[in-house]
Amino acid sequence: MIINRLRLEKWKVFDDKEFSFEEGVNIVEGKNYSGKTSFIQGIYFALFNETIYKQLTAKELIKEGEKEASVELDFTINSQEYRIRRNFSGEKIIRKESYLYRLEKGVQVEELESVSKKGEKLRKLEDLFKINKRYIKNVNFIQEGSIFKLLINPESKILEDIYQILQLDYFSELNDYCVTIGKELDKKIKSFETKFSEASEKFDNINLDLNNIEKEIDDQNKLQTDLKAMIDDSKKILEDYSKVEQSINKKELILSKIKNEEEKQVLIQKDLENLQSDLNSIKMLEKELNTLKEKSELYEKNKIQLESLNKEKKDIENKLNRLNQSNLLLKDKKSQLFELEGKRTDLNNQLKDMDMINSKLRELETKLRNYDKYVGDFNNLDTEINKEEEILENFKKGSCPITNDECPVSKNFIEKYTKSLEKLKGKKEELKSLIDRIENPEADYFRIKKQKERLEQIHEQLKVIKVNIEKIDNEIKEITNGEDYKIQLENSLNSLEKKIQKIEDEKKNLEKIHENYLVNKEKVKEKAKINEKISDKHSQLNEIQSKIASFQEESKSKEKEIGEYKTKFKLTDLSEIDKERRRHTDGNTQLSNININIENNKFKIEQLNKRKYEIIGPYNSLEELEAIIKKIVHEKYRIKFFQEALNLTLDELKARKLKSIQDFCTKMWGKFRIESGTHLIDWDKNFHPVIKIGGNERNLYQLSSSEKMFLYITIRAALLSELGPNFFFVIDNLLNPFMADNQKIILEEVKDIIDNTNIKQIIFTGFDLAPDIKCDNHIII
Amino acid sequence: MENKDILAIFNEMLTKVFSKQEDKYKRKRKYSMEDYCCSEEEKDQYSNIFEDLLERRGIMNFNLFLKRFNIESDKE
Repeated sequence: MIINRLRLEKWKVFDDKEFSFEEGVNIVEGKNYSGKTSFIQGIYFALFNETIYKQLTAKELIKEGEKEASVELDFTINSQEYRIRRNFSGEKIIRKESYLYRLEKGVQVEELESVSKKGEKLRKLEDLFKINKRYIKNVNFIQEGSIFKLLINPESKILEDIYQILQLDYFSELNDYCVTIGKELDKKIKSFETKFSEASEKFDNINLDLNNIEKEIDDQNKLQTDLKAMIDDSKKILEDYSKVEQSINKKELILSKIKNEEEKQVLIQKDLENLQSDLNSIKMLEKELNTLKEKSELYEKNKIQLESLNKEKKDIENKLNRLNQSNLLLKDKKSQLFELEGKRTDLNNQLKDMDMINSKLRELETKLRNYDKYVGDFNNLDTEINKEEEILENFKKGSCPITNDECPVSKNFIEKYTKSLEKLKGKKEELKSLIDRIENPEADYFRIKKQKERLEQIHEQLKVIKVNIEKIDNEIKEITNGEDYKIQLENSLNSLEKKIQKIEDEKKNLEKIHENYLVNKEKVKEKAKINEKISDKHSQLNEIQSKIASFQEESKSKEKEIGEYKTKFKLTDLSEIDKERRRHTDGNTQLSNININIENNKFKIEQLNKRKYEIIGPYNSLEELEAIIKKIVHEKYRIKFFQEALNLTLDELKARKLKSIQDFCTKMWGKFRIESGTHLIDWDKNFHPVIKIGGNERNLYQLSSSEKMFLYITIRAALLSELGPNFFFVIDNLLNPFMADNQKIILEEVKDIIDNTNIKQIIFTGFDLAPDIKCDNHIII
Repeated sequence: MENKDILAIFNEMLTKVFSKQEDKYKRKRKYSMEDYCCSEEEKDQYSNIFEDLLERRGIMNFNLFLKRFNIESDKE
């Protein structure tokens, strides 16, 4: 990567400044606070969108009093020109806008990527061009104090820092990775090996089982083939045997048929005998039948007679029933009559008092007519007495009863007045007692009146009872007339019953005869059927006899055949054929058993195989697991191999680089100290320099500051010569604070480095430089 | 120092390690080189890997490293 141009707008101290760079040595010269370091920061910010040395806020980066700033950088990479532009604003660094352009001869041609306000991210340059930010930060940008530190700080580990600058730590990092991978692989191998050993142990057991089963299957298969051969042989023989068996069976069948036919014959003969006996009995019955016919006619007549008699009997019985019912009624009526008569006598007795009561009543009625008069008198008297009493009171007071004026009266007058008043009161009392007697409910009048009313009621009842008694009397007369008729009916009923019994007795006898007659008649009808049956049986008998004859002939022929087979197979007994047959069937059953066993074994093997796979998990077989272990072990050894080579390489590199740096330093040291001529530089094992002046050794901390400075620049230059990649370099304050002569020496060395390595561009800053300093591009800020 | 120089040193070291390993396994006769270590072919592969890693210096990518070694990431 070569840097061509840098433009800074409102960046730190810069208002709007543009710098262009060349290949080779570029010097940026400026006074203190002129913005040399800011300029270097600008390059880094343009590349990676962040500040290089420490995190600065946007406010610190933007020029005072401004709100927005931008950095624009043109660079060449892989022989292609690009421009990156970053605009930002605000309190903190906000990647507001970033643009990447392709250039042709410094002119913007096309926009490759951009970040708009919508938030699409510009891909990082390190991703786009495969450059390494960390590398550039540590190697390509050399901070002013970074190497000073090496020498000034007694705690610093020069070697480590040098290796870091030389990127040798990269190898040790690789080495660390190798170690961690190796450890992981070790773990993996261990887990696999334990799994493998467990699985293989179980596998051995299962394999033993499997072998046993397979052996068993082999044995069974052999047995099966032997048996099959045996069965095939025996099958041929058995075909012949089966023929013999067939003929024997046929013979047996025929014999059994003959037996059946003979049994049938016997049965038919028995039937025939029975039928003939039946026929004889029917003939006898035919004779009896004529006599029975006459009697049965009589039976019919009797039947009709009996029916008419029964009708008569029923009529009489109905009449008797009716009579019995009326008798029951009569009893009720008689009891009613008795009750009524009793009542009538009671009532008549009561009626005798009637006349007496009537006369009393009349007397009382006359009395009663005076009652109203008594009441009127009583009321009049009452008012009169009240008035008189008032008057008397007035008199007693001495006032006139009419005018109420004072009117004194004599005591005598008052006494007379009171006596007459008492008389009136006495009359009133009398009247009241009279009225009370009449009004009293227990008085004679009301009692007798009530009795009369009751008697009149009794009289009315008597009238009703009389009418009822007359009615019942009439009914009783009617019913008593019916009793004679009843006796007549009962007599006729008795005579009828006797007649009926006689006829019924006759009827029973005749019925039996009639039944016999009917049975006989049907039996005689069956005669023809029996005759037909007899003829059928005769024909059947003939057929059976002919069949038996034919079967006997067949059996004779079969016997001949059997005799021939016997001579053919030299069999003395038929039981030997049976034995052969049994052997055949046994063989078949054995075969099926063997088949079942084989199936079972197959199933077992399947199960065992399944178990096998379960033990080793996702792998198909123990071999696969073994192969995986082998592969991993192989990987582990590969990495170890690589690691070992890497370690050796690192050691070699360290040794070589140290030696070249040491050589470079001694060479430079010699150049710086040409005039004194007696100084020598050496290094202890920690790469701390030891300076020999005269015969005296001085270590780093005993050196003067200018000596330290020389040492620093030599190491810096030596490192630069050791760095290889084709990149630019930016060095802050490289030449300060050297004298003009020394500045020239350093510049010559730097040029030498550019000529002899792939480093194409070095940019460094400085101030108070020698006026006749030679470089490819001199920029003054 | 350039990458090719470093690679040259690495190759030198590889042969050193290879010969050492070969001696070791030949003496033991327990493992074959093909099984556990590497052959001449693999040696070339290693220098390729290393070259690649040198080019990517500073971008330490563990998975990339594994990939270069054909090591599958663990399924378990």
